[in-house]
Amino acid sequence: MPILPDPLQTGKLIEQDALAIEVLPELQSRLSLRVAGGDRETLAAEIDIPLPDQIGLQAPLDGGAIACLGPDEWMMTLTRDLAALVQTRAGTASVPHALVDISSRELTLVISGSDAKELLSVGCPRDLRSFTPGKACRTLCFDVPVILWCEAKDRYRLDVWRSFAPHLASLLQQSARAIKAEKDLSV
Amino acid sequence: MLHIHCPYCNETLPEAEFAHAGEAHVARPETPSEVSDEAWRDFLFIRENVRGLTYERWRHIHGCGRFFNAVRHTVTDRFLTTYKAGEPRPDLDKLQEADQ
Ligand SMILES: [Zn+2]
Repeated sequence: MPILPDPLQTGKLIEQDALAIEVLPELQSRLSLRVAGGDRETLAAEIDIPLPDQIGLQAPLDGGAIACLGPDEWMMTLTRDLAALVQTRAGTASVPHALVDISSRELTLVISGSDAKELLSVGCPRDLRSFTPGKACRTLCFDVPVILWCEAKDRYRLDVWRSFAPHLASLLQQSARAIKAEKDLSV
Repeated sequence: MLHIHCPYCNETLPEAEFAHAGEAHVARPETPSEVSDEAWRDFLFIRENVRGLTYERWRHIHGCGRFFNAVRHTVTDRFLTTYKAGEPRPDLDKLQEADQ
């Protein structure tokens, strides 16, 4: 019999001493923005959104989050109202760009607690010691492509393609249980 | 695991985020219809396949998504340098000198 993970429900998947994994409800819009580096500042001013110019950095933003993923690529998660406003403003922008609503493509998992970094490091090949609050990047977690955001100390966000999400969540849950078991043993 | 420097991210990152993408500096003829069959075959299929230092393309596919070029030793897997796509190929002698 094939073993398939159950479909993901919104809410806490794991809640233990120093670790929680949560599936966020889909309240925000995701927008993917592509614009040539030379046109970045012009477009940022016209849509009134700060576009960080360094790959791997987020920009502070009321009503959402924005990260620079590549030399000409940004990912935004915005409240529905702000997303609509940005799309309207982009409609009259003077520079060529692509702004695409990809809200349904991904789900968001939040990993929090003082063991959050340890849990992520089981599946993510990056050196997370330098992945401090305010950073965000595309990377892998258990070989699944994800967008990883460090929202605050001990709080990470993973945007994962919907179809991969149950697989990734089940591996994270297994690893969380292993971390807990190891701690219980060493007490 | 190998660590590879992405010239766009300007960070040295785990190999798992990267994909190999063949030999670098293979230029497509400007007007393919005017090129002989042999020259077109060479462009499509003939590669240097050197034992030693080679110029090759890599893609930071699970990161910034960019293609870039690298100089790698095919026996030791050592990366001597990486540079952005479109930049001229670096001089091998100078690279080896700097590496020692
Ligand atoms: Zn990169």
